[in-house]
Amino acid sequence: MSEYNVINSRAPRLDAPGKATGRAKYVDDMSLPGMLYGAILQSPLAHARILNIDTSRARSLPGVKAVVTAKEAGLVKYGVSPARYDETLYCHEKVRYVGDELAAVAAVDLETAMDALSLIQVDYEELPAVFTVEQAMAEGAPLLHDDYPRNISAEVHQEFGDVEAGFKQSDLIKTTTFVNKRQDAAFLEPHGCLAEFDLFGQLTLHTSTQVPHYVMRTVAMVLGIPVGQVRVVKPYVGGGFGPKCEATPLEMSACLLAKVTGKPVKMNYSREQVFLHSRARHQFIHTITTGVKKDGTLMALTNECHLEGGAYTSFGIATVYYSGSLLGGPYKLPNMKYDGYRVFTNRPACGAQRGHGGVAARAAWEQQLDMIAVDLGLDPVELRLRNIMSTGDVTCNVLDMSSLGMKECVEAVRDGSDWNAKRGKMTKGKGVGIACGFFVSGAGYPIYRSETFHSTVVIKLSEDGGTAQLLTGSAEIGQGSDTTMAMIAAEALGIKLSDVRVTSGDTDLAVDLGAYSSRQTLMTGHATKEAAEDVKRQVIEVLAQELSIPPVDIDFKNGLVVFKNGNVDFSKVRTSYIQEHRGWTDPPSGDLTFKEAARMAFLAKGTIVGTGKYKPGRLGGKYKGAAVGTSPAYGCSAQVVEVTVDMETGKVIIDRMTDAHDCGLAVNITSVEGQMEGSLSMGMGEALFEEVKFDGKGKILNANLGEYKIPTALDMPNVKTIIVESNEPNGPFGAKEVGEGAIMPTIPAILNAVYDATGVWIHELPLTPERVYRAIQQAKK
Amino acid sequence: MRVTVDGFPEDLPAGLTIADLVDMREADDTTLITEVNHRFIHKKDYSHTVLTDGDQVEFIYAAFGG
Repeated sequence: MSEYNVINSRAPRLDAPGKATGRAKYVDDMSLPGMLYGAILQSPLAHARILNIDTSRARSLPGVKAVVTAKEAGLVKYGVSPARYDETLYCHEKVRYVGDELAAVAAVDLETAMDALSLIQVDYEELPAVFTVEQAMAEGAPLLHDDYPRNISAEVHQEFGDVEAGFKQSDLIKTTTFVNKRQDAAFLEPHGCLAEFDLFGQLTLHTSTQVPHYVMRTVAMVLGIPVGQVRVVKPYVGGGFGPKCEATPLEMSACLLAKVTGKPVKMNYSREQVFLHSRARHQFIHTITTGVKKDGTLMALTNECHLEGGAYTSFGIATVYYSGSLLGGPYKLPNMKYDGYRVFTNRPACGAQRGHGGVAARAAWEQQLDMIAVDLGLDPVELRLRNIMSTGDVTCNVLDMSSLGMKECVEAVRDGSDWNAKRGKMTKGKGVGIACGFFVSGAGYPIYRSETFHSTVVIKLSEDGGTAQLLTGSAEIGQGSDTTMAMIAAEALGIKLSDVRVTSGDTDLAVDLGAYSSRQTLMTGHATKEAAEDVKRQVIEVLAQELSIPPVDIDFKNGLVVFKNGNVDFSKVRTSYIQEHRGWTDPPSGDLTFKEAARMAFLAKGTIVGTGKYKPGRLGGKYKGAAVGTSPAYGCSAQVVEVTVDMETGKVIIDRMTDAHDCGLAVNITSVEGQMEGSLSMGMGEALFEEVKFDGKGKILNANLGEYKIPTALDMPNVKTIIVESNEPNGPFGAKEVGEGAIMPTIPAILNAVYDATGVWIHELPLTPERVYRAIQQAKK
Repeated sequence: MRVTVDGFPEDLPAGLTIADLVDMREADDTTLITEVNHRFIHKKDYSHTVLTDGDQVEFIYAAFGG
């Protein structure tokens, strides 16, 4: 039985009725009078100097209203991190990948816009291109960006403790190299946007984005518009998973064309263009060495990683950082060294996809830990339990596990999967594997250097007191954040969930950094709770004064007023309310209601508005107030996967998945389970199917969802989800993330299960039948 | 000497090291990546990396999510 009235239960999603009935408006459902359609010209070459762009024929085509290139757009550089503003809206000197943007057209319909693109004449001088880490870093390789020798986009080198000493104390040292492949996030709704300037020069951009706030700032900066005149509104969004975490050339083009034409402009990426834009999972090549004592105690870890990053940096500095830092836990590891290199290549730019730089690193290390367990004759579960961190532990790289239910998660999946009866005991071709993982619950820093609050929330009570209107800039992208915030507000205020209405994803409402880094439950949740408590305080103050009792004697619960010290005569309040509502056929009766109290508060004070805000606290340390650290909290997850491998064909079938995730406190239990299952499905796809393939000239070969295969409902096995609640002190009501932590163990659990089934370790993804078959055959030799 | 720090020019005393600049700016953090002229500087080299006129320094707090 939960101690809470609203949270920690199963609540229907606020966005569900709209989605289920088809009333939900996505950006492509929208249109405005006089709207034009835009299209973007993209490079057919991977690396080339631009000699000339002639747009005259395109401009003359009937129905074309504007053609823009770098000449009209300007050359303001942008990107994700200000330290890597390495892109311009349109290329002006050279193109760096197949798909790089050169120009855009606005026309009366999309067909005319596309025809106009074909009339733009671009003269190129093709340059040699590099497509792999090895090619890009080779001596004499052509440079994509002059400031970055050897095409190293970013590098990170960190050392904690003394790895040399750690290895000297180790009884076993294991080294492996692990490789994944470039991914696409494969959200079902391609990017789309609709831009409009009003008669006063105010821009409104409706866009399928995870981050209205960052899009607003980037659009303002690149197009030279004051931030205060840019409004970004997120409609319903059909998935993001990371690549929609930054402003796109699509959005900026639509805004520029709307400015030039004076008309609304709508633009969409096709599915192929989604692949070309990418900003999805990098390819990672991890070489990891771990030293352990013979009882399995972890002593030291070195991790060298090369990331194939594509033509621009995007989130790459954060990616290469997380590829190392997120191996600091969830095991006690005293010594760690990391060397990471993110490399430019003439391919679409990679960015941050669900789990960011942690996913491949986690896969590499969790597989290696199983190899070590086998070498030491230890059960892989036992190896992990011997090294597991607990609440209050701090990693060698100063990640503070203020709450950590890792042990509980491991034990839950061990027991929930019947591990002891299965591991090493199933028939050939069947096996089980386990892995663990953890992830940040929001990034410690905003993307741009600022002391900004990461989230602000406004709650306004309707004047009749009946509804709490929650206004937030946070982004509901299908993960359920609107419902989560409504539940937090209802709980904190003491009213029913049905009396909360959420308006979100609009930069005019409040500041919120958006849906990335698994931050909204903790960060927006904190701001929401504070705003609700502010409203509650104001209403209680008025009621207390009216009833001549101390405010501390009043509370709200389920929309009713609770008097803590016996009966209170509130007849005057009730009578006043009823008299004001003459003609109503349902006058209140029984306990005094929140609605009556809130109406009274309005009559006394005017509109009741509460505000809340959040930014991460400081860690202290050498400079008081300087160090924020990686994250205010960390979620963690353990998974056991059971597989069947056809030894004759190499085909891997996932039979069963058992997942335990520590989310601190489950605000909406159904949503938590949904996030867990969604993470498993994405991890499964990366493990078994997904790879973006290129030809020798840098062109994507499988830029469609027919050939880039992602799991469907038919591929999903039975999934047992177990929620662990460790009560995070830094989270609102103890809650922390579940958005990305649950993907961390999936790939290695599958790899480890395949080993148990076949006796073969495979260090390269995806586990296609061909790859598994070849590995089995090789092992026989 | 004139050094660009995080994109903005600043007049700094000659002979300043990265360690000195980190102290001056109270910039230290476990997530800090320091670059001089687009080159990564290891933390163990902060105290003997001396800045010169025209250098570009970036203090990047790499835990900015995604």
